[in-house]
Order: sequence, then structure tokens, then C-alpha cells
Amino acid sequence: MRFDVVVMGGGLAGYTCAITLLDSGLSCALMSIGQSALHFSSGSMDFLNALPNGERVYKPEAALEKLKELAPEHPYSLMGAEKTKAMALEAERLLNNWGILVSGSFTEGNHLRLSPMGKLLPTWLSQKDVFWVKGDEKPLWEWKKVSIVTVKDFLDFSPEIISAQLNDLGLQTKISSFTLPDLEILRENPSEFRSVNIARVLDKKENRPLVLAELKKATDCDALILPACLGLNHPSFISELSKELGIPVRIVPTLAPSMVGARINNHLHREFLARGGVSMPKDVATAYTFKDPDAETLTIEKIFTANHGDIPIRPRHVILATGSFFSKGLYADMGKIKEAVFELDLLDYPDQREEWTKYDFFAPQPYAGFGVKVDENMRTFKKGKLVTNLKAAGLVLGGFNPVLQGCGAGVALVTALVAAQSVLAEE
Amino acid sequence: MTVEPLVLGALERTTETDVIIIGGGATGAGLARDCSRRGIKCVLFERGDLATGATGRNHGLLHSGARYAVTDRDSAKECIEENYILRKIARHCVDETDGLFITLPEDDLEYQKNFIKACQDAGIAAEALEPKDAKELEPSANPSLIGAVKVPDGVIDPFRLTVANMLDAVKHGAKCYTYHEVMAILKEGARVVGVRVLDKLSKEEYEVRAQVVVNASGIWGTLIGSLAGVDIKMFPTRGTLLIMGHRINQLVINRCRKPADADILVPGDTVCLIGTTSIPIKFSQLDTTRVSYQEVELLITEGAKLCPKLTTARKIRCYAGSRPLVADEADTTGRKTSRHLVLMDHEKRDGLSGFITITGGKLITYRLMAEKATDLICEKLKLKVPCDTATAVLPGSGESPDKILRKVAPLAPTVRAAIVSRHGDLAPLVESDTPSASSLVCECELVSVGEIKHAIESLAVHNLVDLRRRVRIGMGPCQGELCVGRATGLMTAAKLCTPDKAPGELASFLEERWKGIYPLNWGETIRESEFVMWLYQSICGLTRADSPNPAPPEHLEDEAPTESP
Repeated sequence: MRFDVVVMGGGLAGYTCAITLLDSGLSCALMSIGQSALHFSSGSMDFLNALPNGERVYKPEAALEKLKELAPEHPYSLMGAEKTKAMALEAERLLNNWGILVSGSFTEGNHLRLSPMGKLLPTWLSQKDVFWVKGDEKPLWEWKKVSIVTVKDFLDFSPEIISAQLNDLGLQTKISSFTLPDLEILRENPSEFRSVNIARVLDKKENRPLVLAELKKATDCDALILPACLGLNHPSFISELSKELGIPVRIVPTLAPSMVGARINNHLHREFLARGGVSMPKDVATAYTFKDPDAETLTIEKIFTANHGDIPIRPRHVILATGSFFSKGLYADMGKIKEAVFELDLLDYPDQREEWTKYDFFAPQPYAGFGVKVDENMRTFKKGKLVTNLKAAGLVLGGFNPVLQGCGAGVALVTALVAAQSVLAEE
Repeated sequence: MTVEPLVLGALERTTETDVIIIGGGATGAGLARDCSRRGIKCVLFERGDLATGATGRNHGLLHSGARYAVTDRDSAKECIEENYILRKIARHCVDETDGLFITLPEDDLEYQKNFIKACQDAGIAAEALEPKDAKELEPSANPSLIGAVKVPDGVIDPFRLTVANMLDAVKHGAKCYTYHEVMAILKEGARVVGVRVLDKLSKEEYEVRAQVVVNASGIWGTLIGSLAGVDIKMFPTRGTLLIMGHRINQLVINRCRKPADADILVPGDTVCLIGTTSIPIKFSQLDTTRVSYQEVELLITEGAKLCPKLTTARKIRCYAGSRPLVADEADTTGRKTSRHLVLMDHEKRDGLSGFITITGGKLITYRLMAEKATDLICEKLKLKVPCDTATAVLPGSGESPDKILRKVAPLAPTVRAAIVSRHGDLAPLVESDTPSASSLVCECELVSVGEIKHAIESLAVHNLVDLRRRVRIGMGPCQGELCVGRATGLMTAAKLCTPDKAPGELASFLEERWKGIYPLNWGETIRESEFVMWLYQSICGLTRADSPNPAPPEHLEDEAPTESP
């Protein structure tokens, strides 16, 4: 099997890179092991919410120089402020082109999203139908009173908690709930009542009038807030509801699984297939060979996978976007951290396992910043030798804390675009 | 038979009673039960939740006594007697697994002979097995074993046991106050007349008077003793245990040699655990002691000798408790400790009347400890009522599981079995006939909305961590990854916490959970940790500012043994 590019990893970084390369006319296969981190994401995309010293960031653009001082190994620092900015703008353009409609802009700075615990948190891009508000520290409400309407007995969303937090932030709220005959059937299986399953029911055409009738009861307010358990496969579902009801409708991410995140993943997958990408789902690399293992630089020749047995894939380029520990891109045993496929060189990390975690749950956890070492073009190394045709992108990289710095999606997008550029430059 | 509902937590304050019990571990709850069954009015104060000290931080082993047979026949005898009593009175807390004592090639097979003899002398049925039969009986045991002895070990759930004792006590008139800390022992001359307690939830202090005050606070007994002005010499020793993500073994596996570190592997519900270590600590560190990375490694290396699968099994959590080791008062050097139960009549010992300390012992002898202490209380109150706790069955253990299962028929079979195993014949109190109530919150341990509501309404639950101890939510393989978020919503809906406090509740639970996970930072466990970090810190946005607790120091000062204060 010969491809111009093989992408390992079916998350935000992997698909972004793959779709970009397909658009440039390269043939591309993408391997994924299952649900990516997107399935457990907020549905908004963060670029940079805080510096490593904890300082809050309102305008990422203005913070990149300081970030470079504080975190020289951060992927943004490696590629430099100019390039980071250019890639951020490119990512905004591409997402909208691909039909993932997002609000927010790098140039304007962060806005606020609403978390399942009712907190307003900074973010870069939010899907158009997701609840968000302008503002940095304080929200600039367009509304006075909102109705929170939930699905009866849905446990992954607490309107009471969200309402209390919104009240604190100066927004009046009203809570109600509804159920439908089809939901009652779904509920009979005690473990099926989760966001994605509920969305499959509520998205059905025949249920639309019933959903509308229920929501209509709560429209004596400025906007409706719903848990993100509808609109899974129709990006315009929520905006259509909005039109029919005559008031804005917004969804809020629930506890996992995240429908808003799964929706992005599904969308990217469709875009990838539509461009002729070859999908290798539930497959994983088991072995590989270098063309000349003793040369001064290394070049991957063949990759063997679990599903393809002894038939190797012969890619000209490989993109490693396998994610971090959760997605199995990184692996830790009791003494060492490893990049799972090629055992690539990692950024320095402490030898002592004691220093991988902190006792304080809320302290920055060192392991969150572990990952693959790359140069400014996302090129990788093994035992100090450049691997000429292997670029890495996304959470498999090290040098940043995606949680406390709020930069996971931003790093995934910009490193994927740089990795793609790198490949194209070599073509 | 309809099941009579019981409510654990007392709503109104008591200012006068016959007996005050300090400590809500198995011993305290057993004492409350024994006293109230003998018609004595009593009140129990526990500074945290029930079963939070050594009671809830051990193997949960229903000792056969075999472990002590060679070195301490009296303890062994006590164990086997209590073992058979608990099988009868607390069957819903007990899993009658049996246990194996295995001899490995590096161990002395001679020890096994002495061991069997010593067991028989203590009345413990010990049966030598051929290695191949032992391996067939327990396929997870180290295949290189050269000898094995089967003994009547079992497993006991200490949380369930403590709650069952307390429920019986409440049924007979006792009052249970959790989150009440004893701040002072009230004295009049050479007589203890009561205590001053702090209600930690309302932050109010008040006095309660009684004829007898019983110190049943385990290793904290020294501190309570010092409040009364008596010196009780104890040696805090940390014992650490490690929980695996699934149940590898069906029988308890012990090492047939002199007791040492990490030589017992105990199955329990859906998991199994290896322990323990034994590390002296300071009194000042009783509430802050931490599991070390080295202890975890030791538990895995030693544990793998009992059961090689332990090496690769997913590790889900570790925890540490402090044994209530009491100085052997007959020993003049002051360094020897006793594993026996210790009953101190401070009137005789220190000239302070109205004050009793019951400590030492083991989880399995809690009932006997309660019986001895209550006998002494009766003597002081000039009562002659016999003890019936060895024969009266605990709430939950009355009817056989088959009969109870039929009463909760509307639930899915697996959920039904889980509820009956946790609540025994009280299971019908759990609402289960509506889809809302039977909806699952915790999928690892099959905990339903109805069960959580029952625990919140009737079992003195004040926060998510208490809930974990009552219904095992978050105790399974995922350690509360998803269910705890759902439970926070339910607690808020039940008005157990106000919605604005909910993020704090959740933050507290996650911090408590992390204490048992931070040293397990590799393999599958670090994957799960990363997931939880994303979910609650990134998506939900919880930070230190949400937590009601201050940031803990990264390192503790060196832990070292000290004399009692």
C-alpha cells in the first residue's frame, strides 16, 4: 500500500493535517484507534488562556512573546509569534470552510464559554450554537433572563448548578425540563441515557414538532439554554430551532461523552472521506522499518499495522498525531516515558517517578507537559538523528500544559498546519 | 415482611445521656449497638464520617486467625470465634471466600507444619493441599508454590459492617452524630461527667453530660486520653494498601511464613487489594500521612510473589491507615506493643472515674471489644443485662439474599444483585420501581439514582466522600471518573449542598481521590488521571479556588517514630 502521507491519529490534529494535505493533492491514509480526545472536549477550542506562571491571558496574540520567555519549548514558542499568528488565522478560515462554523477570533481575543459546572471560562473559538458570551473577566450579557431547559432525569447536566453560577454572574434564570415518548423508551435501559444517545432520539425528524412544542413553553425569556444533547448530525439543527422559536437557542457541553466534541470529530471524518482520504479505523502500527538505519538521518520505509498483517504501508511522509497518555500516543511504565510508535526522542523529563506527579491535585502536573521533541517545522528525532519523513503534531508533543494553559486545541490546529506545510515544502 | 426504615443521622441535639462513645469506627458503632441493646442510653460522636479511621483503611479481611496462630494463640482463638459469629450476624457484609497460605520455594516448608499444628490448636480448620490442587482452587496463586494450606479466611466490608451496627444501635435508641469533634472532656474532681463537642457543620460547640464516657477512637485514643489528662501510650504505624482494578483472586492469598510486608491479597467485590506495609509515623502526621512511591513499589514487588498477575494488573488506588498499636503495659522497656484488645478502666488505672478506653484489637474483634467495654459500663452503671450481640443478627443480614432479590424485582438483574449485596434485607428501602430511580449513576459499581437517594435520606451522608463509603460510588475501576459529576448534580437536587457549593463539593472529592492515585503515575492509571484532569479541570473548569481546602504542601517533613505526646 503506497500513500503520499500516512497520518497516525484521528483527533483534531490528525484530521486537520490530513484534510489540508488532501486539499494539496496528496494521497492520504489515516489510522485511528477509537474515540479521540475530541469526544471528551468542551466543544470550544482554546488557544491560550493562561501563561505558565498562572497569569490569565485575554489576548493570546499579545502574550506570545512572554510565553516564549517562560516556556521556550512550547510549540508556539518554537515556531515564533508571527508564524503562530498566521497559523491561527489560517485555522479559523479552514474550520469555517470545512463547515465547522465557529465564533470568536484570534485578533479580537478570547471570549467566554459556559462549562458543565456553570463556570464562564476563556476560549478562542466556539461552535456557533454553543453558549458563549463576549467579555474577558466579566461577561457582557446581551440577555437579562434565560431559560435553562433540560431533559428529565438526564444526569450529565445539572441545571441547578449552572443556574446558581449564572445568577452570581448577573443573569436571571428559569429552569424547566421535558421528556418525549421516545426518550422514555431509551430510558428503560438504565445506562443508555447519555448525551449522544439522547441526541440520536431528539434529532429524529418525527420528534422535531414535539421538541418544538416542549421548548415553546419556556420561551418567555431572552434565550434558551439546553444541554448539548441535540443537533449531533445536523450542524444547523439548533439554528433552525432558534428560527422557529423566535429566540436564540444555545447548547452547553455536558459531562462526558461530549456531543459537541463528537460532532466535530464526525464532521472532520466526513470532510476527510469526501476528499478521497483512506480511513483505517481501529488500526494501530505494530512495526516499522527505516530505509537505512545506520545513515545520519533516518527515513521511515514501511509501517506494519495490526489489521494489515504482513502487508506494509509505504508512505513517503508520516504524521504522528497520536495524542498523549489518554490516547496512547505516550506511554509510561514505572521508570520511563515512551512515545508509543517509534520511541522518538522526548523533551527532557525527570528520571524520578516522584517528580511526574504533584500531591496537590490542582497544581500543574508535570506529566501533562511531557512529550515528543520537535523543531520549528515539527520534524522529529530518534536517538538524536533527524527522522526526515516524520512530523508530529498535537498532544503527543511536549512543552506545554494543555489544561492549565488552556491551549490544547490551539496547539493541535497550528502544529497540524505547520506539519502539513513542512510536508508540502519537501514535495 | 415490610422493612422498617431507619435513619442514621440524629437531627436534634442531646445534652444528657448515660454513655458517650467517642469514635465512629467499627468498635464505636459496635459499642453503641451493644449498649443500646442492653437498654443503656448512648450517644456516639465521630469527628468525620463513620469508618474513616483504621476501620475503613485495612484489608477488609475476615481473619480466620491463622495469621496469628504461630505467634499468638490467644489472638488466633479470638479471631476464629469472631469469624464464625460475623458469618452469622453480618452475612450481608461477609464474603465467605476461604483463604490459602502458600509456601514459595524460598520459604521454609517446615514452617507449614508448625503452622497447621498451631491452627489446629487454636481451633482453626487448616487443611494442607497438594500444590496442584491449590493451583486448581486458586489459579491466580504463584504457580511455583510448593505448599498450600486452606483456612476459613473471608472478606468483610468494613463500611457496611459499621453502618449495620449503627443502624441497629439507632433502632434501639442510640443517637449517632457524625462530623462532631470532641474538644474537651468535662471533669468534676476525679470524675469525667461529659464532653464538649464541636458540630463541624454548624460550627457550634455544646456540652453533653453522661455517667460514662468511652474513648473508642483507635489510634486517636492517645489524644482523647490527653484531653482527659490520662497517658495512653500508643505507636502510630502506617499500613499502606494497593487496590487493583479487577478481582484477580477468588480466595484470600497469604504467605505461609512469619507475618511481613505485602503478604495478604484480599478479593473484595469487583476489585482486590494487596497489603500492607508498616511504617512508624508521628502523631502530628496522623491526619496528613501519605502513601510513598517506594511503598507502592514494595507492595507490587512483594505482592507479585503471591500472585504474579499483580505486576500487570491495573492499579486503581492506594490508601493508608494507622493501626491502633498500644504499648504493652506489662513491658518495662515501653517499646513492646500488643495486638490484643486493650480495655482500660481509668478509675482503676488513673483514679479518674467515669472514663473508659477500649482500643488495640483488630477489625474482626470489634464486637468482642464492644462486648467487654459494655460489660464494664454495665458494672459501672450497676446493671446486669447479658450481651446478645453474638447471636442477634444485624440489620441487613436477616433474610437470605434469594428472598430479598425477589423484593427488588423491577431492577435489572445485575443492579438488583449489587443493591442486595450492599444493603442486604434493607434493599427494599431503595426505590426501584420507576425508570428515574433505576437509572444508573455509577456504571462500575452499578449504583442507581434510587440507591443514592436512599443513602442521602437515611444513611447520614453529608458529602460525596461519605456517599462513596455508603454505596461504593466511585470505588470501582474508574474511581468515580464520570459518576461523581452525576452524583454532584443529585446531591444538589436533594438539597444536600446548595448549588453554589456544588463545584466545591466536587473539587473536594477529586482531591481526596487524587491522594490515592498520585503515586500510581504510570500505565493505565496515568491515562485515567489525564482524563480526569481534562474532564474536571479543563472542561468543567474547576480550580484550587473552588476547593474548600487549602493547597497541601508538596512535601511533608520527614516521618519518624516518636513517643506518644
